[in-house]
Amino acid sequence: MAYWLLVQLALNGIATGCLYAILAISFAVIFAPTKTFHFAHGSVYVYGGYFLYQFAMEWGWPLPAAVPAAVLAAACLGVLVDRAVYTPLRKHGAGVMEILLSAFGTFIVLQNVLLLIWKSDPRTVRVPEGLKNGIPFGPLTLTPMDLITVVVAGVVVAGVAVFMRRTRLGKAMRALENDPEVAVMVGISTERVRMAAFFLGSALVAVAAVLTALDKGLEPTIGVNALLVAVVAMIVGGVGSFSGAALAGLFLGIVENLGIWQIPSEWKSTITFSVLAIFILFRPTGFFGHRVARYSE
Amino acid sequence: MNYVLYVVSLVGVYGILAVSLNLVLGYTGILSVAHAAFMGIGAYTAALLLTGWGFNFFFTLPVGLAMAGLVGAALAASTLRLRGDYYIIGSFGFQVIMYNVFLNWIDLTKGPFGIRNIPKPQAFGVAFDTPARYAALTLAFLVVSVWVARRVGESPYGKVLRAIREDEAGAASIGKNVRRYKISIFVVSSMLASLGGALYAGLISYVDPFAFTIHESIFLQALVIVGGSGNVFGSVVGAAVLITIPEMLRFLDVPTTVASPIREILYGALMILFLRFRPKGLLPERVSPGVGR
Repeated sequence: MAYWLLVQLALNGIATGCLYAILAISFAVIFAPTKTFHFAHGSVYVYGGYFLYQFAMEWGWPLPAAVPAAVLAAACLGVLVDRAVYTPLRKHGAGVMEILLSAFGTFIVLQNVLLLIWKSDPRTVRVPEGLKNGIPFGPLTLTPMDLITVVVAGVVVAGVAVFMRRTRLGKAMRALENDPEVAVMVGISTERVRMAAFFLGSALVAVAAVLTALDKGLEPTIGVNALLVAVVAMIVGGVGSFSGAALAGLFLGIVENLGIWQIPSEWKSTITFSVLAIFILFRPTGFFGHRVARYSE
Repeated sequence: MNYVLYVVSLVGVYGILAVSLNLVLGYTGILSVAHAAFMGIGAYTAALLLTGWGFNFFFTLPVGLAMAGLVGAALAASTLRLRGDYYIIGSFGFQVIMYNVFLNWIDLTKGPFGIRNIPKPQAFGVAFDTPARYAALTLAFLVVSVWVARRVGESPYGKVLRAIREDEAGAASIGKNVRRYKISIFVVSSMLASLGGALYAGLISYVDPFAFTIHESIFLQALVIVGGSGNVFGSVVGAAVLITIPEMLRFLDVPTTVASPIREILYGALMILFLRFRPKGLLPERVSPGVGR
């Protein structure tokens, strides 16, 4: 009996983990080339969900129109944050710390504007009948929404991998990540790549937000945990490795859900952070990628 | 009048918290998003010992300070070795976990209901139960905190902290044990934050987890940035400005569901604008002769 329960929890974990994989990639797409610790990414995520709510529920658009519109709107919001806050500071010679602090300020502003517009009550988006109903597979159940999440995550991971390897823009992003000075020397426009990174990352985080909104509904506070998951997955996966980030996201989802077997679900983010702590202590390079810790001194 | 004195106490409490954060953020260049968690440790320690064990408020302080100091040492020792921006994730994660502890360890903290009816401090037959007396108490502690922070920050030790902020490798290369400096200043800062938290609990008379979220940590950053990072008096000025201006909203007859987001938008925006147009803050850091930049 307990055996099937574990399998069920692992399956749930895979669905959650696929969502986390998208979150992780969306953060990494921005962080890797721009080295901006975009804390307000968590707010862009929440806005993505609320845009969908606004379009689909308040304005009554059909989902096939509302979903792309929400993703596009969130992508524009991400670019706007960079253009309005980070870029002027950077051009003014601000350091990493000042930019990070401004990201916190942006997070606070966006979060509270959201409260003024949509209030703090939880919101749900109506979905087609049956999308959230479990389909039994022997002793196990899965919802169509879980399957959609897995498929979307697969498309995102594959799409980003192809984009980074095959397109000029993707290659420019990787060049900027590896060596910004040489990238500029060979004629890559830093500003264009930055905008593309913020656009793509914000669009991807909105995809995760849409999946969340359709499945579990929205609350204004969900951004902090989403951001924590994204950052932890990126570090556990190894900074600079998109597939590593995706795998780590999947791993986190599974660990969290298996944890529910023994640990009440309120402690989910504590599990997430413990995974990070263990990784930093024992495997500072993450699954793949560069070292984030040092042992000298 | 009582209301004014309440605001004065609030400024005192947040002055202490801002001074504490300034020691790590302003002097040493360590970004912490976990100061609300240390504030919470102080507040909950005081609240629990006062209500559950009948401690005197002033005897809860050493306990809370010791707890915060130990936790701060552990956090600093384990996360400050992370390179560059990554250490921020350590304090971010710690903040999220502590909030979860306050919220979900219901047997200890009563979870979302919080701990109510916290008695006012008493000592030598004097109860600090009027707004005037409480304001005097917080201001006295503020003066002590400022004195401590000045002693620490403007000493040779403080000059090493600034050297670490400006050029960590340089400080290490002239033989300074950077790790030890960072951990020790983080411990001092955590303890001061815990003191601020205990005074906060005494002032408000109840604590609940929602006072110690990451938003609160960012608010403390705004106090330091607006006041002037690296200047202890700046932090007090920052607290005075950012506490009193939004309090004016109370007189404009806006409902709290609107007033509290507006208050937060105000300080978030001020933080961004100051970083862009006046990064040194209202009272810029004063560097004494002999400290090269």
